[in-house]
Amino acid sequence: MKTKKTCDGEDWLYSDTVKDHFFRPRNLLLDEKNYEADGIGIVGSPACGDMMAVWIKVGKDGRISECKWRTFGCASAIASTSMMSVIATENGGMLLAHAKKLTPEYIIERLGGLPDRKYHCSVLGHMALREAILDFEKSHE
Amino acid sequence: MSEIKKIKYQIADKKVEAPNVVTLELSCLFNSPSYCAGQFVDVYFPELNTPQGKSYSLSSAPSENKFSITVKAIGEFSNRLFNMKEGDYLVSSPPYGFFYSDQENTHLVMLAGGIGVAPFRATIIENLSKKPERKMSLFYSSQTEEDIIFKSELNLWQEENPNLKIKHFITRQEKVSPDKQKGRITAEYVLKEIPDLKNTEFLICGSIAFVRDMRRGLRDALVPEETIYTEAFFSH
Repeated sequence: MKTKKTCDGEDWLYSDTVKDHFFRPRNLLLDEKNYEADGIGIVGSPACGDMMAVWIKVGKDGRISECKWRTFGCASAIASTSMMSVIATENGGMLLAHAKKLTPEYIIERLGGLPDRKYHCSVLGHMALREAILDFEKSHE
Repeated sequence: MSEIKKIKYQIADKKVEAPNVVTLELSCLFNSPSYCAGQFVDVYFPELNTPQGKSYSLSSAPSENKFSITVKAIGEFSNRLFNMKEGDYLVSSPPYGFFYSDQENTHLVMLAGGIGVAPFRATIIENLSKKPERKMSLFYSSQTEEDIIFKSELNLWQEENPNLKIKHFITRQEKVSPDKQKGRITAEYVLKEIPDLKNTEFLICGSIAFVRDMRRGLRDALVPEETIYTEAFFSH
């Protein structure tokens, strides 16, 4: 008998952490017009089916104090970028030098795994964060 | 958001590297874009219903004054590239990505699975050309000895450069040459060969599973997260 598919996440193959970050995304930014970021990174394109924007604020100590984001992407992109924003800002914020080395594999590990065919979703947020850091560094040279 | 910039290339040369693996040297109709060793381009074949394109690491180094990608035929998209001929045209994005060390003099330890060796060719050439004193170690896994990509170049560079060490791992061949190791690369093996982790960085490139397993092995051995760079290839 065919199982009825629902929208409540009960029959997903994703970890509880992925579901949690998809249903309750952290650090989502909906109103960027009123947000003053120190660095902005945008990768992908809506025409291609996925796009990611990341805004960061950087403290005087060189740590990321805020990491906001918005995506035009799937559940895995939402969950992995939400997790990335948590990693970037937890424990007083990541040093920029360390944030540059944040890997998709670490984000996936913290999510409790992602299907391989969704690997690229975690790359998007990681790339957008790198772009935001680059943007910050260029404007503070 | 603005359109992604696209660049048109003509295939200037095609070289067979191993069974089902070719290097396509690309000639830009205008000036070739600048890039760093380790970056990739997105190649577009819109008629294959992939508007975002597919990513291919550049196997050439900027110091070569060349622009090339190395492709393994494993799917519809890569077969299309594999079957292209000299004189054909293709369209790609500008070079992009962050798969390179931003340090000057660290010991670079490169772990490659199969076609994952492509960006390391660029990394090795660039460093041999600009910083020949830099220590580099390549641990490279292939299914058989016949599958080793860039075999003669790697042998030559190792012979001529005492700071470059290369260890081949062969996973699907009954008997292997004495200078090669049978089986998969393990973090344990790598770390035995690299006793001093200070001033060492690790770059891992290959399939998603290869990159995940190698990174996990290094992390389990307490290699710091911030000394590991990863680039995973998906099947195309």
